[in-house]
Amino acid sequence: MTARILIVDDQPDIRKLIRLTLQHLDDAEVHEADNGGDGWRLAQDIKPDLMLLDVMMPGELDGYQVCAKVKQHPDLGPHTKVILLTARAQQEDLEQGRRAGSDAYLTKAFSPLKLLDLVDSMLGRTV
Amino acid sequence: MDLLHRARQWLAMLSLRSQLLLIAAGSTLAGLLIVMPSSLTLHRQETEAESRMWASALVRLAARASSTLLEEQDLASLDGTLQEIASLPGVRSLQVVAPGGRPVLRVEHRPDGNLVTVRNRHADALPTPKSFERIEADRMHAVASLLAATREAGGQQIDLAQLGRDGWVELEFSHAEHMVSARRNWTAAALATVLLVAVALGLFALFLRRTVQPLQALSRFAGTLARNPGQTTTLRWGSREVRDLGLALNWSSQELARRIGETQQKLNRLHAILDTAVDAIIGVDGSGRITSTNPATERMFGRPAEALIGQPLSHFLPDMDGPFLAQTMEGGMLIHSTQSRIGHVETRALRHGGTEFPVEVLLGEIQGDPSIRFTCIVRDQSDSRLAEEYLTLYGRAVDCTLNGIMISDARRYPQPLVHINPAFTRITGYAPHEVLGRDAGFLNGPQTDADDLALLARTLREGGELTITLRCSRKDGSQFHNKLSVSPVRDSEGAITHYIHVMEDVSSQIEVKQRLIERTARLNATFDLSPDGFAVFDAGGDLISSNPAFRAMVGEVPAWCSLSRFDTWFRELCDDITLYRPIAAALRDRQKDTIALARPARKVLEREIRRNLGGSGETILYFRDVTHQVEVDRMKSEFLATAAHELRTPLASILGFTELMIHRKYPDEKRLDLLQTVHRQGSLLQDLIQELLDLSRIEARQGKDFRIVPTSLADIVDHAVKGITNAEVGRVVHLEEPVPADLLVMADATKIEQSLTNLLSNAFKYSPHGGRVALRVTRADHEDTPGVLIHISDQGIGMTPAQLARAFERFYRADSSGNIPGTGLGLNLVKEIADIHGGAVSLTSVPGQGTTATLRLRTATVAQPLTQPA
Repeated sequence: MTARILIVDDQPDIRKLIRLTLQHLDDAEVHEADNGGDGWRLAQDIKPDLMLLDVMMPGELDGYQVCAKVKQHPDLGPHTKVILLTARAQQEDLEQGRRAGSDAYLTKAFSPLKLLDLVDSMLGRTV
Repeated sequence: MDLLHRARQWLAMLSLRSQLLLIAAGSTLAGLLIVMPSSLTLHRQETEAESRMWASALVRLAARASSTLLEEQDLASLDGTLQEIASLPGVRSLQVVAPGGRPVLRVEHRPDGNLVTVRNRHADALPTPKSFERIEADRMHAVASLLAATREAGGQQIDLAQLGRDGWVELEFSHAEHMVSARRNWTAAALATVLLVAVALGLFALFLRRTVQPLQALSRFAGTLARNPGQTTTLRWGSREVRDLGLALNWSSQELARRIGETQQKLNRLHAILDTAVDAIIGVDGSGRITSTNPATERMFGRPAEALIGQPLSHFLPDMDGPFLAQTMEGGMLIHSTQSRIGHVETRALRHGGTEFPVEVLLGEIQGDPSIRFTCIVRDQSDSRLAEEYLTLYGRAVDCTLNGIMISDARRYPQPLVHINPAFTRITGYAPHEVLGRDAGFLNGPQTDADDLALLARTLREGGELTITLRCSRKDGSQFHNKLSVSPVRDSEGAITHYIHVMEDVSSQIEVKQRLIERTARLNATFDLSPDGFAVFDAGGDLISSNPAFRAMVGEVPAWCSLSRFDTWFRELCDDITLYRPIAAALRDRQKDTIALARPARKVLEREIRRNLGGSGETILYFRDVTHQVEVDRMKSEFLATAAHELRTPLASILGFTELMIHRKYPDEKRLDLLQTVHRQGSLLQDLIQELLDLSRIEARQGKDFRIVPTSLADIVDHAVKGITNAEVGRVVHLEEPVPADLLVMADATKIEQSLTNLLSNAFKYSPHGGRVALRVTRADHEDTPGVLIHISDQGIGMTPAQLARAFERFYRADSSGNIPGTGLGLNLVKEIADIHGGAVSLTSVPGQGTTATLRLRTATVAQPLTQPA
C-alpha cells in the first residue's frame, strides 16, 4: 500500500532535503506545498497518511493552525499523522505543538536519518 | 367655782364660731327677757289710761245727753240714747242717778249679752260717789254730774243747779276686752321680734362661717407647717387681719424652710468636714471608750468603724487611757472665751497589724453630752516627718538636675535672683556670688531676640507661664540656645512671690534639628525630582505624601486612598487583577513585584515596599516605571528567537544534505547540485551573521561609533556603485546625472555606502528578469533642514501594499518562495543607519512594475569644514 506523504514548508531547500530523505522509503507518494493555505487545501484533497509541517510560514495559516485544522477534521483527524518541523525549540513552542494535536515535534536542524526512522515508525503503526 | 371652771373649759373647747354664736344668742335672749315684761306692763298701763279716758268721755257724753233728755222728761229717748252708748264696746252698765241718789234709769249687760233697761222707781237712794273715777279689778267706774238746765221745760222749772250738783251719771266700764286685744297685739309684736332675732342670728352664723373659714384653713395650714416647711397658702376670703395672719404664716413657713435648709447645710458641712478631715476625729466617753469616729479614723487605724466603736481608746493610742485623759485635760490650755480646756499630746499610735506610728493629739472636753466626754483630733505625724525628708530630697533634686534653675523674687524690682543651682553655673559659667541679687538680664547677649525678651517681660508682668527658646550669652561671651520655662509661685492669697526659671541648653538639639530640616528639604527635593514614584503612608495607614512622579504614573490619588484600600484602588487600574499582588503578600515575600497598569495609561511598574523605616511605622511604596525596559526586553527576546530560527533554517539544509551525502551515495551530478545548495545556504548563513553583528553593534552603540561629518556624496555613491557593479552578470547601475562633486552631506561614509549597497542589492535581487536599476540625487529641504534625496529605482517584481508595510521589519522577506536569497535584515539596517544620521528611508512600489527606495540625508552647511571620508 502506497503511503501518501505531504511536505509543507516555505523553504525550497528544506523541501528538497526532505524529499531526498524520503526517496529511500519504499512505496511512498510525496506531495509538497510551500505555504500553510495550500498545504491545508492539498491535505483535504489527497488525504495524506503523514504530514511534515513547518511551523513558521508566511501567509494565511502557520503550521500550528494547519495541524489543528487537520486534527479537528472528521476524516483526516484520526487518519493523518502530523510531524511538526520547526526552528523554534523553546518549551512553550513544544507545548503549543502538543496543544495543536501533533504526533511528533522535530527541531531544525534535524538529522535526515532520524527523520526517516520516525516516518517509518509512524507509517508502520498506521498500516 | 368648780362648775364655773368646767363651763369655762367647755367654752374653751368650742370653736370660735360656736363661741361667737353662743355669745350673740345669749345676749339677745337676755335683752328680750329684760325688755318684754316691761313693755307688757307699759302696755297695760297705757291700755288702762286709754280705757279711763274713754270711760270718762263716754260718761260725759251720757251725762250731757241725760241732762237734756231729763230736762225734757223724755225717758224713752233717754233710754234709747243710753242703750246706744251702753252698746259701745267695754261699757258694762250705765245708770243715771237723780239728785238725792235715786237711780232713774239703768242700762246693763246681762250675762246672756242682752241690754236691759231697769227703771228703778222705788229704789233706795244711792250714796253720792266720792270720786268720779274708781277702778275695781278690770272694771272702772266713771261718774259725771248731770248738767244744770237753764230753760224751762214743760212749764216746770227744773233747778238745774241742783240737779247738776246732785244728780250723776254712773258708768261701769270693763277694759278686759281692751286688755285682751292689746295683749294679742303685744304677743304678735313679740313673736315678730323673736323671729327677727332668730333670722339675725342665722345671718350672723353665716357671716361667721365666712369669716372663720379662712381662719380654719390657716389653722390647718399652720398644723402642716412643721411637716412641709416652705409651703405657702392663699386665702380667698377673710379679713385684713386674717390675710395678714396668712402672709405672716407664709413668711414664717419660708423662713422656717430656709432655716431648716441652713441648718441642714451646716450639718452637711459639718459631716463633710468630719468625713474629709485628714485628721482622725474620735469621740470618747467618760470611761475612755470610743463612741464615734470619722472615715479618717478608719483609714488611720486600718479598721472599719464597727471595729473601733466601743473599744477602749488605749487599744489604738496605748498611752491614752481614762486617767491619762483626765490628767491631760487638767493640765491643758484654758480657752477663756469658752471657758474650756484643750489638751495637746504627742504620742504613739498602733495601726492594724501592730505598726507603731507617731501622732499628735488635740484633746477637748464636752460638758453635758452623756455619750461623748472627750473629742480627740489625731494627726498622723509620719507624713509630716516624711514631708521634711522630701523637702530635703527636693533640695537635692534641684541641686542634681541637669537643668539650670534660678529663682527670682517677684516682690522686688528688678526681680533679683535668690537661688541658683549648680547646673546653672555649669551651663552659664556664673557662680552664685556673681549673680545672686542681680536680675537675670545679664544672660542677654547680642543675638537675643528683642521680641522674645518683650514677650518674656510681658509674661512676667502678667503672672503667666511661658516656655521659650532664647539665644543667651555665657559668662565667657559664647552663645547658647536656652530653652527657658518660667512659672510663677503664689502665696495663699494668690499674689506672686517668686518666679522659677528652668533653663536647658538646647544648642546641640537645635543644631541637630537644623541639620534635620536641611536634610528633609534635600530629601523632599530628591523626592519631587525623582523619576521614580513614591507614596508614603503613616502608621495609621493614611497617605502622608506622594511625589509628582508617582502621580504622573497613576494619575490623581483618590482622597479615600489609604494603605488598606490601596489594593482596591490599584486593582481598578489593572485589567488583569489576578496578576496583581496585594501589599500584604508583597510585604511577606519582601520581593519586588511588577504591576501591569491599564489605566490611566498602559504601563508596567515595578513596586518595592519598605515598612517601619526609623521605627515610626511608616510604609513607603516605591514605584519604577519599567514600561520601556519591559518592552525592550520583550523585543530583544523576540528578536533572539527569530534570529535563532533564521540561523537554524540554513543550518538545517547544510547539516541535512551533508549527512545524507555522508551516508548515501549519489551520482556526481546530484552531488554537485547538493553541494551548491549547501554552499548557498552557507553563504546565507554568513550574510545573516554579518548583518546581525552590524545591527547589534549599531543598537549597542546607538551611533556612538558613527563619525558623521560633512562628506562628499559623490564619493560615497561612486564607491557603492563600483562595489556592486558586475557587468558580466548584467549588474549595471544607471546614474541619471552625475552627483555634484561639491555636494556635502552629513554622513559616516562607510555606513551610508553600506546602506546604498543594500538598497542597490535589493533592486537587483527583486529584478529577477532584469530591468534598469537607476540612481538619482535630488535636493530636498525638510523642515528647514537642507537635505538631499537619493532615489534607487528598479523595474522588478515590486511589492503589494501589505508587503510594503512590513518591508522594514527584521527578518521580513517579501519573497517567500526561497528563490531570492536574503536575510530579511538589509532594509532594517538601512533604516537604523538613516535614523542615526537624522535622515530617513522610504519605499514606493507598484507590484509588477518595480520599486523605488529613497534615502534622505542632511546636507552640510558651508561653515562646516570639508573633510575626507574616512
